[in-house]
Amino acid sequence: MRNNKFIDELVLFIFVILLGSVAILNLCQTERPTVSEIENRNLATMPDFTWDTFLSGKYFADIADFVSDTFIGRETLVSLSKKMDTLKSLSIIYEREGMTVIIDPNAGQGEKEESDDFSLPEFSLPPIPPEESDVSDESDISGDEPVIIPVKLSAESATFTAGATYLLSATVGEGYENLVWSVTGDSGISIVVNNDGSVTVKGDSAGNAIVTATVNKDGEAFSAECVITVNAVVIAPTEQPAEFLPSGLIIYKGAAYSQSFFSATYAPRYAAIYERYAQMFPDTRMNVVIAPLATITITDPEVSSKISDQAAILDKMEAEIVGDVNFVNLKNVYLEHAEEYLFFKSDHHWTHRGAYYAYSEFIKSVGMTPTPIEDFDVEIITDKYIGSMYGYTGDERVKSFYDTIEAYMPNKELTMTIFRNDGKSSTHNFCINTGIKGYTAFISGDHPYMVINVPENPQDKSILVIKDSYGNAFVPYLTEHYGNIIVIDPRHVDMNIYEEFKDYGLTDIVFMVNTSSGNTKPWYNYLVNLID
Amino acid sequence: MVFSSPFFVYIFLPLLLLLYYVGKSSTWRRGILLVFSLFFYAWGEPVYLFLMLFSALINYIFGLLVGAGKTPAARKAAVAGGVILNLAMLGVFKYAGFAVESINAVLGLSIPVPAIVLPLGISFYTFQAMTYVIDVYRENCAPQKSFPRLLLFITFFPQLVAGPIVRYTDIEDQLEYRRVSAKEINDGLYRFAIGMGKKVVFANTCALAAENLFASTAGPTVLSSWAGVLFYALQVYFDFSGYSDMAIGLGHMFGFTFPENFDHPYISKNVTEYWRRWHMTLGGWFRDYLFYPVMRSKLVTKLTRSLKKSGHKTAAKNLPTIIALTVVWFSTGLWHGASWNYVLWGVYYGAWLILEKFILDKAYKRLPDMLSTIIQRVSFVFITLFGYAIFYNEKNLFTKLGHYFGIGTTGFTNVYSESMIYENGLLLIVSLIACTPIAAFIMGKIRAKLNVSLGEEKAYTVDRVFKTVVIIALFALCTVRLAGDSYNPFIYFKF
Repeated sequence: MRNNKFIDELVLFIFVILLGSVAILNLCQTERPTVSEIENRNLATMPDFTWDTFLSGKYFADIADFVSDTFIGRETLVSLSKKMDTLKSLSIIYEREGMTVIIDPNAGQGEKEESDDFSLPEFSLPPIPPEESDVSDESDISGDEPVIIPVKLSAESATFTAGATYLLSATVGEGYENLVWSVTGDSGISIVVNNDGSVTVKGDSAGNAIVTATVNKDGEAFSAECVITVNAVVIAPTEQPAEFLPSGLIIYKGAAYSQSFFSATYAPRYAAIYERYAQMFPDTRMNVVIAPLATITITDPEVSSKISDQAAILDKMEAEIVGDVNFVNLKNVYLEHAEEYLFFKSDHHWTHRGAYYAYSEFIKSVGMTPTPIEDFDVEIITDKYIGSMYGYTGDERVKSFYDTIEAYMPNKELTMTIFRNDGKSSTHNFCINTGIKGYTAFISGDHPYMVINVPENPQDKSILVIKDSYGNAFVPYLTEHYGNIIVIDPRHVDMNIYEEFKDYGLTDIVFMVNTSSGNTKPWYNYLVNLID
Repeated sequence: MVFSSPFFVYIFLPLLLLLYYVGKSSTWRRGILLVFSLFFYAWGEPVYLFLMLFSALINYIFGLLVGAGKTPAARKAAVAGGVILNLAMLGVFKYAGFAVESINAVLGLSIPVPAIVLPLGISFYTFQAMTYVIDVYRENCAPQKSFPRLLLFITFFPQLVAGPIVRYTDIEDQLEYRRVSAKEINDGLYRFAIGMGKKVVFANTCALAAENLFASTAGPTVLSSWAGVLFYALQVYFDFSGYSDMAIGLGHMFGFTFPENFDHPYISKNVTEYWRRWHMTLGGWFRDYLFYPVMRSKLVTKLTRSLKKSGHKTAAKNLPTIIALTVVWFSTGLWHGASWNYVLWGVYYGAWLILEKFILDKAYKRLPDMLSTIIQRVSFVFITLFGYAIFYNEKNLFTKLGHYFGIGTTGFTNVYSESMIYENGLLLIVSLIACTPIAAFIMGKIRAKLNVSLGEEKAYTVDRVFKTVVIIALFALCTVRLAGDSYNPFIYFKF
């Protein structure tokens, strides 16, 4: 069969030419790429030879990685590969109603929980000078008459979980009588008076209430109050530590959502470091503003009951707080405004409107008045934004969730100076760069260190913002109030802020991240490194 | 080095093909194969290369000793020595830690557990080497006087890491003379491409689905457990049979014909059929080198005789088989891994085989055909999946097995389980179809028709062109997936 031999040799020849060409093209690359845009990571480089790595096999494994990573046309191949992943799903045959979960393909490769003992770094504060003794201490009046308190409750505030009860008792001063209990507030909280005069507070559902004990003397009424907070029962997923992987990414009603989980291990550590910051800067207010993720806006109980509850995470984080730390719980304001365009559909960040509510709650909590949202000029940066969720998943469905980026432009004149790690800096007269058609428009993205100065505002009113990328949309609003806004992204900066700012006279420090950053190990370490 | 990696496909393989075919002498060609095989092994495990060389040397010496033995006793001593040394090496490097742990657990001691790294492919090359010494003893082949030739047999890279288990007798002649033509190389490339496709397209994606289902976001459910193990079963099949395809294809490119290892095992009706289609070279090895020796051993023959004498005729007929099967399946389980769940898995299958052979086969014959087929096929699915559950879980085995029956789960299903299945639904359907021989069946029919309508020569041309297009398409597809996919696990690597 002479023809058969011919055809065999011909096709073999063709195949060898093809294989050989790709092989040669690969080997002859003069410039090898070092970064993958699409995967957002550094690519492997040619390893150095050491006897250790050679004997362990790591040297060869690294070479194989290098060849893989610098394969010719890799970026195109990676994007093609991601598109192909959509073919796995039945969505080609029929669209599924309701919530769809896709797994972040990079999940499952995170760190495991470590159960190490932790202690904050060694640190010696300068001794706090003893305070001048103040006269206004009620229990120590050098008067003739001993003061009798009409009624005193066993606690001034109490927090517990729905379904539980709380025992509150009252001590009635001598000469006072007719102890009467009452409760006002959410209907899920009620009281039952016990035989011995104490009261059992029952929280059937989450909410707030005030329990009042009233006594009488000579026709005059005196009362004492206890503020009751009942927390919602936590749903299973939220109990998982933040390193619980893979975390499901959800597609629901034309938007993509990521999830985060409360970390029972790290929450107390965070609380301890917040308190340490408060101690290190005694004349500065220490604030913590934690942004919830987009799933907080899902109101359909069918869906929200099956995913991690962001509101519960915020409550649990708040419950851990100790010391003189202002924790701004954003749960209520986000639940209230859930119908608004608070989060992007194709990006894991909040919109500028979403950041507004965090700003207004924060400003209120430090005793100032936030500028109403109508008093800002709105600029539409783009209406064709496709954000990070597409990059994470490569899922083609996300590519159709176009977002509009609205920016609420600062009202006051300002200068923004960005410092790079090599010492160079650049100054701009804007802090929202409308030329960038993405989330990076907000303060031009993540930088190690930058300062915004607003001449119109009191120059001694300053705030240090330690933030993740959520903070980028939050910072511009601060220009309404502060003269100096110092922004640090601890992922990129190498600074000891105690040394830098101990004599600066900061008015406020705010830690502004989202529930994912605020529960995980890396951000805890960043906070430690900033003062270590 | 992994076959399904850019380095292997675009650097190692082209270079090897070039250097192999550039020279004509068989010495050159054998030398090239040997050098590349040793380099291939060193790439993965530089230190343990010497262990493998040592093993080859031992087997070489003992092969010669058996051949030189003048008396049956001398020959027997030599083969026993060879086998014992091989098993000792395997025992120490694979099972030492496991043995000490088990002793500690049972006797309550605290002997320090040695932490020995498992050398790459030791289970495979040791078993291959043993076929040589034993077959020399059985006079199925002559002792190999050339050390390089024997070394090539033991270290040849295609089947070194994960099979098929090639016996010395399978390729004894091929070491000397191999038939190579463009046709052979093309056939080899085609087989290799198919294997690579199975691995990269099916195994890796099923692996990700299985891992996501087993990770049980929001708690394990019954559905996530069964669906997870289903994807795992598919992963193992495509991974392992894909690897065997690549090995056979590679061998073919250099004129070697290796035995088949898989024959569409998932279409089996029952466990007995399954083990005639799954990992066939291992089954064959255990049959020829353990099952029959046990059956013919003095101990068993004595037992049979005494049972016959005391009138237990059926026992005398069946007991040797049962004993041999138990020994073989205990060993098969143990071979798969140094952990008790693997032994349990082996015993599990041994039990099913014994059950089918002695009880179930007869029981099913009493039922109407249709019913019997349905029951057998459905039970086969569940038996296999549950077997995989045992195989998969080295730790917390019984807790994990409970999940399959609703013990310790958060319900029958949840939104994550359903979503994961939906998200991998099309993959599941296509994978299940790909387990069947339907593609080959259709191609066979078309080829037959073409033979008639076009004549043999033209039909062959069409066939060859088609196959080449397939090869190029698969290479391209796999390159896309490999470049874009950092997730490239290889389960049998730990053997």
